[in-house]
Amino acid sequence: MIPRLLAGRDRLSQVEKDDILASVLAGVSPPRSRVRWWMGFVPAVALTIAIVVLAPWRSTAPTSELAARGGGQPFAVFQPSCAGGCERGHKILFDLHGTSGYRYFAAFSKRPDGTVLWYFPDQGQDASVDLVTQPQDGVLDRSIVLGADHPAGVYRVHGVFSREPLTREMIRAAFDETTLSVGPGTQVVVHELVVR
Amino acid sequence: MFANDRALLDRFRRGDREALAAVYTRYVDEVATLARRGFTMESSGHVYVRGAGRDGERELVQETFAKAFSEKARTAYDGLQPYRPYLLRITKNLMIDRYRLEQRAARGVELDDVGVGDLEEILAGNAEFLQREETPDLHWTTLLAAAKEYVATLDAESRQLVTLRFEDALSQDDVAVKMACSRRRVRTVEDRVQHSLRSWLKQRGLLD
Repeated sequence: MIPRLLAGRDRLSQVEKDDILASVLAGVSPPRSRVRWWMGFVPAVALTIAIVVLAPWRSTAPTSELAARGGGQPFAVFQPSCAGGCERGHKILFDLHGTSGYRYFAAFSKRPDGTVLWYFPDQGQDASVDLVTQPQDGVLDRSIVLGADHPAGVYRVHGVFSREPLTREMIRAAFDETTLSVGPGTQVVVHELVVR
Repeated sequence: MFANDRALLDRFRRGDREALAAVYTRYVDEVATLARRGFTMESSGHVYVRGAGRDGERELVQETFAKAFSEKARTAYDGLQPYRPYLLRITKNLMIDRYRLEQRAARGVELDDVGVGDLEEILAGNAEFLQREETPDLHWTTLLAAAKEYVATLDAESRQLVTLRFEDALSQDDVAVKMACSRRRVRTVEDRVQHSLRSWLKQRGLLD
């Protein structure tokens, strides 16, 4: 509603159109890329990375399921869900199982009216969640209760993965909806969540 | 749109983002119009499928393009049949699905395979409902007046952004060019203006 009020018309605004397009494109499978000349080197590079990652002289200290796990391609995975359905009083859980290469996690959602609801960090000055401190099963040890601030509708839940801790302000300033990033070494994953 | 542009069709079917964005830009307003205004189904005994509200309109537009741009739908589209009715039929069927959920009594509504056809014709046949839509919404009018009051308090940069980005509906890139600043700056000011307006309305008890 806010973009419409600023536009002075009760019609889909350009800001809303841009948001919708970004969401739609985020869900579209990426185009098949053409074969590039440098792809011939990929096996050799992959082998080198594998040797470095699996080398016996590397530390064997146990790592968290969620923490950065070496020199491979970072992988950001998260799935928001509600035990027993997403209804008032229920909780949103965050399953990050399969994430690697990122140590910190923040999350917020956009309500259907465009309002942003922050989940993590909890407070404005706090930093994103350190995944090293989280349980091994990949599910965050904290959840969000669906209260009055979550009226029924389709929410776009954003998971922000980073190698460095980020505050809300840092994310807000650097968030790029087009590239789904908040800068180098970060990745933003978006899922829709239907609250009934 | 694809009839004379085979290259665009190929790129669209491959999922090229620029091609998808071009298709989206071409049709988004028509999809939104259908979602907002609703339509009648003569084949089901003059059933009126009401248009969605603000949030519903946005959801329908998003769902329509998400379906239309899925890999399965893209590769299945042959480029021969007109894309507009194909797209509007997706919107229409989504609305019928919702209608069925809302109105259990409407079990008799049939999903026909016929395209929406000429949207203007459908809208013309719904003049009664369109007229009703034009009735001023007191809450909206109040909010709009408050929003104008808020915009008048903004600094010159923010006011220029409101004009270009919201009233003139330019992209962030185009606004950045006109304001001679970075796109990031546009985004920052845009977010700030929206956030401040929301707070302004809340302070006046006009928004929850």
